Amino acid sequence: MGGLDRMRAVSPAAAVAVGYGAALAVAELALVQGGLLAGAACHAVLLIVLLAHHLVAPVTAYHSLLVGLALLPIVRLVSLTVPILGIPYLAWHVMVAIPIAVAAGLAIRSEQIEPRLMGLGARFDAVFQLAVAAVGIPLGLLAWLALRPRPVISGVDPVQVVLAGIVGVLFIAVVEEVVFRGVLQGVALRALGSSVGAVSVSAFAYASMSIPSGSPGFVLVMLGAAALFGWIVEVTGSLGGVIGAHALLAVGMLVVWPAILGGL
Amino acid sequence: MTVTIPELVRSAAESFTLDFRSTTASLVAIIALVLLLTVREIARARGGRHRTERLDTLGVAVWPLLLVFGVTVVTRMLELL
Repeated sequence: MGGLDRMRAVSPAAAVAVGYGAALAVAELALVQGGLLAGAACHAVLLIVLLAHHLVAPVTAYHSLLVGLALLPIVRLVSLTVPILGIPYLAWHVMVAIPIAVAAGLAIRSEQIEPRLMGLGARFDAVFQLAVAAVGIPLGLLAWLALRPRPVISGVDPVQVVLAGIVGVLFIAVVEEVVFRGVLQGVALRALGSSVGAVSVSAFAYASMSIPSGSPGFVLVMLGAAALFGWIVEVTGSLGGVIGAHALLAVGMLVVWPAILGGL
Repeated sequence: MTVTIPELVRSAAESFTLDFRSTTASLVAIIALVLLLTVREIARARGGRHRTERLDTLGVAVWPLLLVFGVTVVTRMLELL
């Protein structure tokens, strides 16, 4: 098969996923290399192009995928622009999560994404989902080792740990899982018709959005974690366990592991 | 850190003043918001039936950006008082 034939064989949905996925990675690299203005400008252009494409494109299989992908520049624009004045880092997540949750809710409504497609409403096997959630503990350690982030709370005050847990579950894990494994992976499955393709789209998008962490090792850990979470959602049809795993990953990396191993 | 607020964004928020962020990232977001609202009005006026039906999708970006814009304006006003 020649090069032109191979290009024709690629489905439009796959071309959309790869093309806009690469543009997302470029926008994140622009943020790292060029600073706030360059990063925000690239994300704003990507957002407008995605929504204009959605507006003018004929109704095709990848139509909803454009809206799912548009959530990603919205996430970054919101996180760059929400005014944060002298409030703790964990509280920032509350301020950033609310507009992102609004965007995700509107995307679900406008694209009529079924709960089943987002890993909601499936039969819930509590024991298995708890086992899935426990995966977040070693992943949190791996993420902390790869990034060594600054601690977000001072010491191990039980009240602060409980507050961190609440923020970790509601405003980090639920919001990020609904956006990436719920909406994005759901519309990617609808567009590509392939579980491997859908998991790849959500995992690479998640890893791309981790680029501003500044650590290639951390990006790799996030790529692996996102692929694992995506695969679990595809197999079990439920977001419950991966929300737990994501919360344990975040709280472990930001609160628990720095307190236990911070001096090493 | 997390995908929503990675290390670079955290450092930027801590290092730069609200003034600086308002005249860089926030300004870009406001321009994007104005462009999206303009596209919405043009599509509503001349877009035909199928494009008008799709205008709801623009709300996915418009409402969160409006929310952030509102919070930014209130914060700046509180700073001035």
